[in-house]
Formats: sequence, C-alpha cells, structure tokens
Amino acid sequence: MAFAAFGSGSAKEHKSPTKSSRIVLALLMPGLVYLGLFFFTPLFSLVVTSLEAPAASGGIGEYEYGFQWQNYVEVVTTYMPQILRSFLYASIATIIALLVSYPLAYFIGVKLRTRPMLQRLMLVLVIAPFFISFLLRTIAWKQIFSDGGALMQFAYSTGLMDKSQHFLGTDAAVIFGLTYNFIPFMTLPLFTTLERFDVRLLEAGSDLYANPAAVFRKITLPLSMPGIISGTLLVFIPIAGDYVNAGQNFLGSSKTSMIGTIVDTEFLQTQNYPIASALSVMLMAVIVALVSLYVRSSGTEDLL
Amino acid sequence: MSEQLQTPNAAQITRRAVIGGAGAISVAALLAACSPGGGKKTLAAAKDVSDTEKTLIWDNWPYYMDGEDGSFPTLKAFEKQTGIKVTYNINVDDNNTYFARIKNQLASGTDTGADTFCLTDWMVSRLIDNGYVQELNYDNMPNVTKNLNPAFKDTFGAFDPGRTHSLPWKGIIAAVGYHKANYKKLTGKDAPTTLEDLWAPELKGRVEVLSEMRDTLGIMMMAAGVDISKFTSDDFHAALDLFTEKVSSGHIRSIKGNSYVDDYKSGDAVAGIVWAGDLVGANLELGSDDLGVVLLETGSTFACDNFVIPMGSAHKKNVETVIDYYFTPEIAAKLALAGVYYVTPVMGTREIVIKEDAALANNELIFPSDEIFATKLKQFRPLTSKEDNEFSQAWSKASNGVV
Repeated sequence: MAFAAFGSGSAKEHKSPTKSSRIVLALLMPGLVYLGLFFFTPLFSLVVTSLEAPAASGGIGEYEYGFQWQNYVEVVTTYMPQILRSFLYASIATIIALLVSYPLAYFIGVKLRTRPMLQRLMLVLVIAPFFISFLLRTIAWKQIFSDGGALMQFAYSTGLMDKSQHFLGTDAAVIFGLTYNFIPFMTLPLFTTLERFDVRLLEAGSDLYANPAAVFRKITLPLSMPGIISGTLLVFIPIAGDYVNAGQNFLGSSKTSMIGTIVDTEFLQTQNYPIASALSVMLMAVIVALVSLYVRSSGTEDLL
Repeated sequence: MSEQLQTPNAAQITRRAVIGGAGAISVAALLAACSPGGGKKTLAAAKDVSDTEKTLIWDNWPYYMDGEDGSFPTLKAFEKQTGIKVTYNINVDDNNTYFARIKNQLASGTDTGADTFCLTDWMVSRLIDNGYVQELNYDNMPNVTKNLNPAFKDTFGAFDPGRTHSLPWKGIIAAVGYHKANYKKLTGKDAPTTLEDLWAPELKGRVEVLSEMRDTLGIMMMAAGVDISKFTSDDFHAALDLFTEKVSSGHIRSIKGNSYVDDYKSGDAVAGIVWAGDLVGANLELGSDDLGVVLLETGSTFACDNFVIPMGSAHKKNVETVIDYYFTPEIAAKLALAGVYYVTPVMGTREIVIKEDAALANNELIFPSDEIFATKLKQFRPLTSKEDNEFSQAWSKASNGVV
C-alpha cells in the first residue's frame, strides 16, 4: 500500500512540467537517505546473515557467508510451535483489544462530544499508562499475579484454583499482558475515526426503520473501518514480534516462548546469528503477507 | 587538567598517533572481516600510557562494589591515594551479551571502551585462548602475590596457569536455595538435603533454576555422581534430558538469571538452584532468616568473575594498581561489610571482618573454609569451542521449551 503510492509518485511526476521536481527531489533526499541507511541496509545485512553457515572453527558466534538456505528449513521445522503460538497469541490479543477498545472509543468519541472536558480527561486516562515504562508495568502485573499475591490467594482460598495451579506462565497470562500493553494502540485510531463520525446518519437510519443493530451493522461499523484496520495493524504487528511479555522474567514460562523470545536468546545468548536472522526475515515475510491479504480482503485500500 | 595544559604538544601528538593508528587498525579489521575463514593473527598490546594518563575505565557486574548509588567509598579512597581517576561502569549483566558487544574490537585489538572488565571463568578462558588479553605484570601487584588465595590460583584458575592473564575479583557459589517456611508447609521437611528433594511432587511448579547452564547442569551432573572437572558429552546430555523432562512437565517453573530472589519473596518459587550470595544478601538486607541455602553433599559449582585487560587498553599499569589495591585485606573487608556477599580471593579478609561482624565472618557461604573449598566446590571444566556451541544451543532450546 504505502510502497505502491511511493513508487507511482516518483516515476510519473518526474515528467510533469513544473520546475519544482528538483526541489521535490531535494526535499525527498533526507527521507530517502534515511530509508536507505536505516532500513534497506540493515535489511540487506539481515538477509545476508540469515544465509550464513557455521565457520570451520565451530566456535560460538562464528559464522561465514555460505548461502545456507537450509537455515530457513531448520527454523521452520524446529520452531513451528513457537511460530504458530506467536500468531495465535497475536490474533487473540488483537480481537480482545478490539472488543474492549471499540465501546471505549465510541463512548469517548461520540457520547462525550457534548462534554469536551470529560472527553479530554478520558483520553488522558487512556494514554496515562504510557508515562510509565512498559517493563515496569509488566513487572507490576507479575507481582499482582504471583502465587503469594492477593489475587491468587483469593483464588486458592475460595477453591477457584487448586494450589498446584498458577496463573503466571500460562497462555492466558501472556495474552493478558500483550492485550494490556497494546490496547492504547487500538483505542486511539478508533477514537480518531469515531470522533469525526456524523451522528445524524444514525438518526437517518432509525428514521428509515432500521433497528439499532442494523444501524450499527450498516452505518457505524462500515464508517469506522479505517480505525479498525489501522488499530488491528498497529496491535497485531508488534505483538507478533513481542519478546517481553512471554519471557520467563515477565509473564511467561518455557511453555509460552514466542518468536521474539527465541530471536532474543538466539541472538544474545547462543549468538546463533543466522538462525536468529532467518527467524526475523521469516517473521517479517509472514506479517507482510498476512497484512496485505487482510487489507485486500477487507477491501479497504482506499480507506487507508 | 593542569598536566594537559603544561604539555599541549605531547597531547596532540598522542592523539594524532592514536587516530592514525586506529585508522590503520580499523582498515585491517575491515579486511579481516571480509576475508573468509577468519584465520587467527597475533595481536599486540596497546602502548601503555599509564604514567602520563592517570585514568582507567572498569566495567563490572551489579552488586559488586560498595556504594553503588555512585558514592563508591573504596574507589574514591583509591583515587585520592593514587591520583588515578576511575570510571566504574555497572554495565555487565551477561557474559555473552557483553562479549557480543565488544567482540569486533577484541578481535582487532582496538579499544573496547574499557581498560578492564570482570567476566566469568569460561569466558575469560576463551578470551585468553584467543589472545585477546594482555599479560599481567606482578611487579606492579605486590599485594596480589602476598594475598591471593591459592585455591583461586591453582584449583579455580586452572584455565589460566599461574594466573598470568587474569585475576579473580569475586567467586560465586551456586547451591540449592529454599524459602524456609514455604518449603516446610509444602513438603513437611525442614530443608532439602539432596537434589532429589527438589523433584518432590509437592514442589511441582515451584522450582526455579539458574539460566547459567554451567551452574544448573553442573549441580545436576554432580548429583548424578559425575566429576564436572572431566565430564563427557554423554554425562552432559543425561543431565540435560532430566532438565528437559522437568521443564516440560512443568516441575521447573522458570529458568532465570536475575530477579529470581523476588520470586522467593512473592511465593512463586519455593526451592531451586541459586547463587548463594544472592539469598544470603537478601536475608541480611531484610534482617530476616526466611531464605536458606544448602551446600549439597554431592557438591556445588564455583565460578569466579575475573579481571582481564584487553589488548586495546593503554592503561594496563593503572589497572594493575587498582587490582593491587583491592587485594589488600582491609579494602576487601570493607566491601564485604558494605554488603558485597560474594567470595573474596583475598586472604586475611575474614580475620578483619570477624572483629566487626562475627555472623558475616562465620557464614561459610561468604567465607568458605579451606575444607569446603577442597571438598564441596568444583569448577565446570573448560569446553572446546565446538562443545561450547553445541551445549549452549541445546541448553537454550531446552530452556525455551523447544523440543
């Protein structure tokens, strides 16, 4: 989407009779240099690294180029459960975030229009957690959910959970953390879309005898699609690559490792750079494929 | 400051020479990086300018110095005494990540940003084998010659015969740790006495082990009757299989290298493999006796973090001066009394500490007796680079639940 817009722009407008093309190019230069230096160069280096083979000395972190495409086969066969888990977690967390954020954004953006002070206050409340470090907030949840914490003690004493069971380190704990940490990225785009939503359309709908459900389905939902699409993308993409929540020092356990966790250990602990790079390239490719499929199938290219 | 003002020319020449030299070296490094194979070349030590530049940069792990809020009383006293300005950075939190950050500079013999840093035995052994670090001059370190505990020189310094390239900073004992009250509540027993006790069904999901492979698997191998100073690949894999089984059954709850002490306080962990100094420190800090540490009959792993001076450092003599300073028993005692509860290699420290804090001095996990050194503590044998690579990858897969 973004690439397409970029490509058509530079090729056609070059022939336009305006004298400003040189200026346009000059203005584009910093951006292009930035993109080349900080996106394409590292990407190229990543792809090259992902094709490296172990050096003859066989030491830790020693690799040389060898067009070792088998790295990708190894990554897929070895880490399939972690790959599937990452996308499963990301899908569930995105859906929960959408279900929680939509009513919230609707409330702030539509219902509170007549009370700007309250609307601003609510928005601040949505953003407020961002003022505290992401890591600290996650560690705080870890404390809250710990076996000796009030929540778990309540669950144990009432018999809701058996004493041999825990919440930390389960799929649910990790999905909770992911959803919690990324919810503002869903709420804010939804809010900006719903804020401009023309409520007179709702009145028109009910004047034409549509019941509230039909009004929502035929009017509100289609008109809030841009917010839903950008919100889901902003949440899904970072979650699929998250390496914090599922880590053992945070909300996860060895049973909740995601792609990000594996890349983290492969890169920093075992210094197996080719495998870590191959995993990253694959993660990127799968996300690009999923996202373009999603954008195309929801037919909202013009909305973005 | 005044010194620089007096000799502006000397300073300029040095700087130009350094920049020129660095340029030449980085071109060489670039070529080396491009050339296939990576054949090893002999590195030369940087020219020592300690006599004119009274500075040094020291990178170290957290909890290893008194006054880590930045006051550093012993370092301040050293600066006053010698006129050498020390920049002490607490920026080592993992051997592999620290090495990964500076490995290109190490391999080319250029400045890594630190004149000395303290890393663990096995990593130091790798650095020495690769020829990345400078040879020490004992003439500058009379206190080291006098006070270095022979156990740290011979038994636990076997990877560096005669300690010619490295010197111990602190030693760390890995052992079995437990929360006294919670352990009693769950198992009905007072304390674990064997490693087998950690696998009791009542403890399922409440056991945590260290993410340091050499400590966790070292203790497991010792419990299986293996001598870890000469184990085989089969011994290793037998221990790893047991570990994998305990992880996949959920008996081992998590594998951590930091923040695990909090889990003992919050109740998430009841028993496991720990670094003794961490739990002893937590007890002494809180003024409680909640946490216990047991040196198993089958033995515990012992490892040191060691000073090394990379080839690129131009302040070798300054570093040797600071090492020598910390090898005086009075200074080592100050660190222990200030809460650095790891094992000191400086003889005579305990005798000073006992006058001020008998409980601390009599704690065998902080001041192990010669008998404990000889019978209970063992060092994980050095691995060849192939083994190191294979074992670490198998370990990280098992820790991440990849089967």
